Amino acid sequence: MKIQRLRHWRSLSVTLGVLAAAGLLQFADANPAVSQTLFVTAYEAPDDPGLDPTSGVWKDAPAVRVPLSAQLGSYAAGGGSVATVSAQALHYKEKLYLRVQWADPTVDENTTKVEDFSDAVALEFPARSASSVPAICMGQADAGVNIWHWRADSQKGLTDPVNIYVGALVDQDVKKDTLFYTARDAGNPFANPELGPVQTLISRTFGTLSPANVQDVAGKGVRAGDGWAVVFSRAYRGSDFDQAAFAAGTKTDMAVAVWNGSEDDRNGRKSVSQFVTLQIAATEVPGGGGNGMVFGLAVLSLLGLSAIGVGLAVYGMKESGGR
Amino acid sequence: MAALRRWGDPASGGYHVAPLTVALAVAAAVELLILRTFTRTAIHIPAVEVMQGPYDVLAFLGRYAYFVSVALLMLALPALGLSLFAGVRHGQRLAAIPVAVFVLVAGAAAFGLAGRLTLDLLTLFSVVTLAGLAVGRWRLAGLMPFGMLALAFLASGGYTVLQSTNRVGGADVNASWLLSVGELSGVLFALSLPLLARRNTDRVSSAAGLAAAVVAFGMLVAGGGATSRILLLWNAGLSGTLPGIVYAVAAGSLAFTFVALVRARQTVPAMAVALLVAGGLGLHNTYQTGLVVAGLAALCLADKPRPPATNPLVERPQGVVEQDETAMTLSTAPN
Repeated sequence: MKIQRLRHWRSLSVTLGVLAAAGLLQFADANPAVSQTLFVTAYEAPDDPGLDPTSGVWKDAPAVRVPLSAQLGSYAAGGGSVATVSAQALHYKEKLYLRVQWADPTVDENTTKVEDFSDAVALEFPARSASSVPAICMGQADAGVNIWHWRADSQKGLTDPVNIYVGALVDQDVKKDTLFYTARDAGNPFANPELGPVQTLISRTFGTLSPANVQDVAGKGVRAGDGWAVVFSRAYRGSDFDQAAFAAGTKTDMAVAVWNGSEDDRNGRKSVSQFVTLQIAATEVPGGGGNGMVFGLAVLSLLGLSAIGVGLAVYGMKESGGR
Repeated sequence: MAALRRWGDPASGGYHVAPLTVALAVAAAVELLILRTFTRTAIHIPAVEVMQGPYDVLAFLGRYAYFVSVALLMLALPALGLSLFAGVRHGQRLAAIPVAVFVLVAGAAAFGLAGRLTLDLLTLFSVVTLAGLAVGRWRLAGLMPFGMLALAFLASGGYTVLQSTNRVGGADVNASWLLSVGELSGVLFALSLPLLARRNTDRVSSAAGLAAAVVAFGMLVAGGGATSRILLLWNAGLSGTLPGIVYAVAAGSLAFTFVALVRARQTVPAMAVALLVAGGLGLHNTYQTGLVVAGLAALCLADKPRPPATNPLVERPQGVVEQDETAMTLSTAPN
């Protein structure tokens, strides 16, 4: 009876201890778990990388291939035509630079016709105010997201419809009258190329995606090989709590989405990644990039692990009698 | 429940492994359902003010369930390691090593004392060796599921490791084929898991499996399955590139195995399956990997499932154990 009571009290004290420890961890926001997702590290650049994706500064910045998968929108099932995005990051004088490159042989930068869709890329970060890792789909009520969206058509600027519909006849010249360009007249940012190729957006749930009050993200894309290379840049500190915040020596989450215009990608029809970890290192880019020695050791380690696993399985089966 | 009681009994040297495993599985399941599923599907709830209060409460509870699960994991892993170390089979004692390695490296990483490459490689070591030892423990029944689980981790985790080498001067390689291997082997793991409970098939477990498959198929097909596939990616580490029916059957297989093991009174293996599901495939964070390590360690420790008693009237009295159970009792007793 006494032993039973002792066990009862011990179980109760362990239970209470676990609940109290959990409460303390939550109260102190001390998460002992460590992220094991892909890492994109932003080292300190020796020179200002600028917005040119072909700048030599990027040569030594480590690149991480971030896998993408299809996001199947409810009505526009598709996406997934871009398998990976190569992501690099640097920082220079408290400004973050992110470079993404992906394969896309078709150039889709004219969206004058309604059936045309633009190539585009977006980066998503948790908002500074987020209390937890937000839902990757436009954030959630207690954890908003900040999205940087580059579009090829916004960068190219408007193409005069007369040049698209070369056989069309018009009664009068409408080129300078915005009333005939309804989207532009209504203030649609995509129809106003002077706003630049990158929009910074904020969102907390589906249907709340909207441009941030201050548009402080710069960007530029160029054709690189058979695809695009785009550089985004912004000062560490965003204009408000709905925007992402960065600092040397810190980490945050980052997701990538790519739209392939010739595959009719638009809105929720795109190729998306999971969140990867963006680390802002307080050190310069390590030298000796691409020597392959560490890579070789990693491959050997993986092969060794496979051999150990198989060996232990065989050993265990023999010990158990092989039945 | 006899096995559960025996494992929980300090006199048998069980280090409270069974109650801890059950509690951990329940906490992880609650966390998975509320934090990783509900709060992420709540994006479909209209952003009206009246919904904000209930949503905040649920999100708070989900985060609390997460921290409860983390606290339990920090207790369960050492307990499982100690129980394995006290095992009579060499295979069991060996299994204590990868558990200890994971606990040490995850703890060191939490304090910034272990680099990412070290953490990832040693995590893969722990998962692969435990999967190998679980094959040894479960023999032919475990060969396919645990072999596929190890392959899925090696492939998807291997991709992360190879990309991590870029940070320290490695080559920029495109090894995305590893992700396809991980996806396929992950699905095969789920599809072959019922082999663990093949002797315990009954109508209830079959019905549970069928119901889970139908629900999963409906979720994956309804509205294009956009949210379901994102949840699949976040919660299970699967990209959802295969046809929806494949994932639906996989979900049915997992549910069947879980229910069949529970009904066969194989509580710890059933909870281990739940932990593997909650942990997901591939490297996400040390919490989720810890759930997988705990699940595999419990499977290395657990007894093999037996057919259910044909006549409940002749249920064995307490204190009378079969040969295999004797081995289990001895295998978990500390020296």
